[in-house]
Amino acid sequence: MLAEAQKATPEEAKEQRAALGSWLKELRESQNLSQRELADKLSLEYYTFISQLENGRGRIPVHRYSEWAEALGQDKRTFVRTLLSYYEPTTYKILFDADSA
Amino acid sequence: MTNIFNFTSRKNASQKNDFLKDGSDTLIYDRDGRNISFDPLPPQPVVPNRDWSNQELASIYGVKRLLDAAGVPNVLERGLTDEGDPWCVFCTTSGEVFIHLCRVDSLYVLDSPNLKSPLTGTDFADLISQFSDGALSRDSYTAKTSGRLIKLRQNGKVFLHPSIMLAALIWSIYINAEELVFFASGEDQDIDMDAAFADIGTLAAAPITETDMQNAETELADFKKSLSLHDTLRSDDVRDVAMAKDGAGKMGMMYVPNTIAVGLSSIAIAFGILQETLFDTTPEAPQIAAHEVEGRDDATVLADAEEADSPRDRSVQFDFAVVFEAARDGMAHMLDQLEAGAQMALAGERIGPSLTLETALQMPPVSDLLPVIDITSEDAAVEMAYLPEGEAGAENDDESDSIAAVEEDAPEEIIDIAELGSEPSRSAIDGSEDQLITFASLLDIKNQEYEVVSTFEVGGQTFEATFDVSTLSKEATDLLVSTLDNGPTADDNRELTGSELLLPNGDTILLGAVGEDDLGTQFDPFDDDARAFVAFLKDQSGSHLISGPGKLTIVADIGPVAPDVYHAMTWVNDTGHEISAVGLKSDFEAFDLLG
Repeated sequence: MLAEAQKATPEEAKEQRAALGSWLKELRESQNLSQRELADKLSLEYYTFISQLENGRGRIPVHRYSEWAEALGQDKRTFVRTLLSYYEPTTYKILFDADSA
Repeated sequence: MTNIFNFTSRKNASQKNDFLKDGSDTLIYDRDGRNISFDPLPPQPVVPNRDWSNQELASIYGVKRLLDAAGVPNVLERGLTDEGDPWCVFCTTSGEVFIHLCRVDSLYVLDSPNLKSPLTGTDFADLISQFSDGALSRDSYTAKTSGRLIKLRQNGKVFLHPSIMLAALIWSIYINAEELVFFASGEDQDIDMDAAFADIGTLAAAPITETDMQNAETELADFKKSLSLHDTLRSDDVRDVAMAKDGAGKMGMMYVPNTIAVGLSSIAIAFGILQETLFDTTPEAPQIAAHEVEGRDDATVLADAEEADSPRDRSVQFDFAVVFEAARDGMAHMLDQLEAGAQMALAGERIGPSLTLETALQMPPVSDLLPVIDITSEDAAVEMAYLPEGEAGAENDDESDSIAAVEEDAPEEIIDIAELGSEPSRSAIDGSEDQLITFASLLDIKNQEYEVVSTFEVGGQTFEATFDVSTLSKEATDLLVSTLDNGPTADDNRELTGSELLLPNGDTILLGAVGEDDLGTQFDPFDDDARAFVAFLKDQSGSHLISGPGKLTIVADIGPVAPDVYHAMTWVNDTGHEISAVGLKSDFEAFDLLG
């Protein structure tokens, strides 16, 4: 039963986060921000975290979603919804697939 | 001895590389309303953005090998920022990042969800020192909480390969994860510590192989096949870190420590990274019989995170007896074995730092930030020191008893940290920022901090070294001799005042002629970068000194690197006194001393 609790295989999760990383990079570049500039906007303690995320490793802390959306010039609800589609694809499908259908 | 080098104090110095070195420099982070002010740091070279050096990569992959061998399933990935700064992450097999290590503006930053704030430092030893100084996030590690810190060292001096140090640090951070559950080895388990430490040395110092460089997919697949454990890290960390784990993923780690794990723990203890309380079985952390854990009949469960609900509780428990005894009895032997392993791994074109670990025991400790227990010698006292605490007492007595039970032979001595605080710190010996770095002051440092372990002759002159020069490789010996033998004598210097002489194996730069009485200005011709470089080497952990008549050489701890990355340079003034530096060519370059 516990094994079934796994949300996704590591490979799947990695693919999803890599795709998310690419999306985040596109958003940043669309705002003409360097990684360091974005990190400064977010008051991150080390800007290499941006590169790490854009390379598909790690995830944005939940409590910073709003700030990230703002820093990247995105609507908060849309931004979080997209994040959810990558981080929690199963949950996302249940919640939103019917809406989009 | 005449003071030759009269460096401008750092506070007044005007150097090119002054980032975060001035007391007024402050980094401010407004997240959560926190303002963080960094203390002034020693002079650091501005290293152009670049990927990890081979030496750094060797250390990083050495860490991975050690974590693998210790049974910590992990995946290593690395990358570069858009500015070219390198980073790497150690991930669990589920993709959660548990260590982020990067180098930005010549400073290493190491972060983990289990740290309350990132560790920063100019080298790995700095990271360890900062960690030991209380970077752990949990309440139990705050200064208000009683907790005994233990360090083992011999003659007060310990030195290990950077990979081992970093691995011990990461290992310590890893096992401090709140949800981890350790299945400690039983007392009847025969742990061959000799083999373990030899393996650690070999793994840490082995050159990078193609296997090391395999991509994450391959590593991930390999781990999946062999993975029988689940690991996780605390998820309730609200700090803005990359590695925050989602709440749904909480799983306890079931772990059977192997010899490498015990060895790393011993080393971590030796460096003061691990707290003894981690290994203390407390009533709040009840033991669970082995049979209660399905499939783990051979293990003894010492703690269960599910049942440990007090903030003071440790979910991480370990067979302290095994670790402690290994650390005590095996320290000297361990170092020998590590050296043996390192030498094996370094055989071939690589040359080691040419300092055996035996002689490295004479080196300064990695950190004097914390009190120390010395239990490596037969007649050594066991000194227990406590973190600043509000409630020392019965609990500590209990802990002392547990130690005594483990090591009955070693006399025990309880030392309050306040008393230890009166001991001269290394920084005090080195001097404050206002202390001038002169030829004489460097000699004083040599005499105060080091036990001279060897004398030797070069060119008919006798030199004293803070390490055994007979252990040097031929290449290293030649390079050192060039700094001791080829430099001009005082008479030579007077004839060549103001000129520059380049030596085959290094550069000798003659300082301009100035009056001997004018010590305050005699170094005007001397480039600020050269002065900063000498100070930089002096403050580096593991640096060594060689002195002879009118000559003094600072040898950086440059680790096992190829000979062509070494460089030597000598500065001479009109009194004939010389200060030489042997270090990484890249460091010379960083101070604009080459080309």
